[in-house]
Amino acid sequence: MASLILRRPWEKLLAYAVLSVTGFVMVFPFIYMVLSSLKPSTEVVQVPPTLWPSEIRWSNYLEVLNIVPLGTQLLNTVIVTALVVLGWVITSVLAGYAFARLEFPGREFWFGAYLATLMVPFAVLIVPMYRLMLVFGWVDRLEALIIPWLFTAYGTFLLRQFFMSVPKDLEDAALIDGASHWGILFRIFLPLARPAIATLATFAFLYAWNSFLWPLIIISSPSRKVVTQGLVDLQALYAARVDLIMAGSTLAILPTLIVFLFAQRYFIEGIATSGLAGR
Amino acid sequence: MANQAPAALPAPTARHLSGRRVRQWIDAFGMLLPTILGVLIFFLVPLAISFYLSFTDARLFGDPNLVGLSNYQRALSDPTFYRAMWNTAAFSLVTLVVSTVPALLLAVILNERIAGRTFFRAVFFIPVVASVVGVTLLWRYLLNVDFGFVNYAIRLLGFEPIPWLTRPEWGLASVILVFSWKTIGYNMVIFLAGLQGVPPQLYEAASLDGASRWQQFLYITVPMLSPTTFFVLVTTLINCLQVFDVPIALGLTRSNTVGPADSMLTIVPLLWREAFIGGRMGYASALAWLLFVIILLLTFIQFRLSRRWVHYE
Repeated sequence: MASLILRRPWEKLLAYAVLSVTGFVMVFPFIYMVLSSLKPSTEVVQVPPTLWPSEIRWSNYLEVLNIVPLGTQLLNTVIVTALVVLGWVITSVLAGYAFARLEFPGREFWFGAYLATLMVPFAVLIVPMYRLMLVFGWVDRLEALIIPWLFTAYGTFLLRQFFMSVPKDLEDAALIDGASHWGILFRIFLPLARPAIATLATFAFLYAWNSFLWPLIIISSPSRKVVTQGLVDLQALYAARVDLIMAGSTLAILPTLIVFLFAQRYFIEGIATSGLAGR
Repeated sequence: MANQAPAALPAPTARHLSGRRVRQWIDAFGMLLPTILGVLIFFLVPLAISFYLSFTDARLFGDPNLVGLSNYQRALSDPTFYRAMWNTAAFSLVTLVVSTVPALLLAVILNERIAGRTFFRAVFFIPVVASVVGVTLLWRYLLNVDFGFVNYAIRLLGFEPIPWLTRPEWGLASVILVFSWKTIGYNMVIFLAGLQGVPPQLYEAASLDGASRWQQFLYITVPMLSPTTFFVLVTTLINCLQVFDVPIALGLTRSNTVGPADSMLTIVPLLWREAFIGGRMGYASALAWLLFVIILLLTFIQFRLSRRWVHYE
């Protein structure tokens, strides 16, 4: 594809200027975060602000892990995230395959109805979900962060779209050989679906790692909180220790940036093809 | 389906096939079972309970009593509710522009064949993946009136520093700033995908006919991109109306106001505060249903309006 808009050199220059300035605005907060996390505490609040630390203080990280249980909270987040990712993938693969490749009465209706659940804002569910958790005895327990969130209409949609694109011949041949649908799913479709599953897994990761509203409601013990809550607590308790808050933020944000670095393709292509939200 | 079976199969397969059909139903049911259970227990039951609670005086604990429409009446006469509605509306309206127009501009530039486009695409996407709460805390310090870098830059340019987080009149602007900063990269990627779906031959034909680049943008890009634009507007609006993390992480104070003088208070933070700090679960449920109705109504209106400006091929 030829350049459609930028033809003259000065136009290209202008384009790069726009990209660079925007890129700077997008990245600067993270640079500020990491550098501030390594500063002595007085230097972070100095006027006018400086960027580079006068001395590197790794000990800020030890201190933040000592004053709040951020380590435990990171571990909780890892556990919750891993199980939610696994749950999303399993339930979406199964339901997506059933909706795409199996015939049963009312299939299109049920699929449409499932998608319609996306219209309901989460705000409608939080109060009754809290009461439900009271009934189940899951208030202030990690179960509440995991078990209700193992299924997703987004993921079912994504996998259904993928499975529908697989040619029918493969399946017919296997059916004539007497294979069951479960067998076909696991032996033929699952290996093919790896890219779609990777996309789904990255979104599940983002969703679970960054979730905040539900944990805020349901978890109150510091040792069971997740990292987003830990950060807000840290900010409330040690508002003046900006260096420690930045160290905590770095610990919470770095894992997602690392995952993004390796799975970039799946994030960006996944959004581009499905508009899947990583909220 | 039976009619898709090869015609050459011998006669006895008719019965065999119907057995296979039932078998398929059972398999489908088995595969859908986890989802069915999940939707039933963690969606449909709560949905029904929520609707019921919105007509009761439910508190944090104890049995609720039916109170008719009084929660809804109370919302409609509650100044805090109107404040939250107004904040949500102003926030959504401005964000709808601020988080989409720059996204489209960046997407148009990145759709060109220029060096470093994948690099820039990834850079713009970084704020999207980072935790909302984490980055919002960052901005809390970047926007600080004394030592924040934003005001440092503003002072360098020769202006007075802006009290982003300490004065009510700037509260909502701060929320818009942080939310848009985080959303632009997401919208840009969707616009980019839409742009890449525009066949290049259209531009070639138009430029042969002597259309200027601006005309090409206006008469090819804009209409061809309209389904994408529509999608971006609908999803951005739905997300804006439900905003929670940014105002809370940016503005929650010890006295549980959201921003100075509740200047960052939108609907979902208000709902959360009513339910889990005030313990008024019935009232909060009514707020949730009002929000739901507003979202449905606005989405419906957007779909109706879209007939006038969205062009599907």
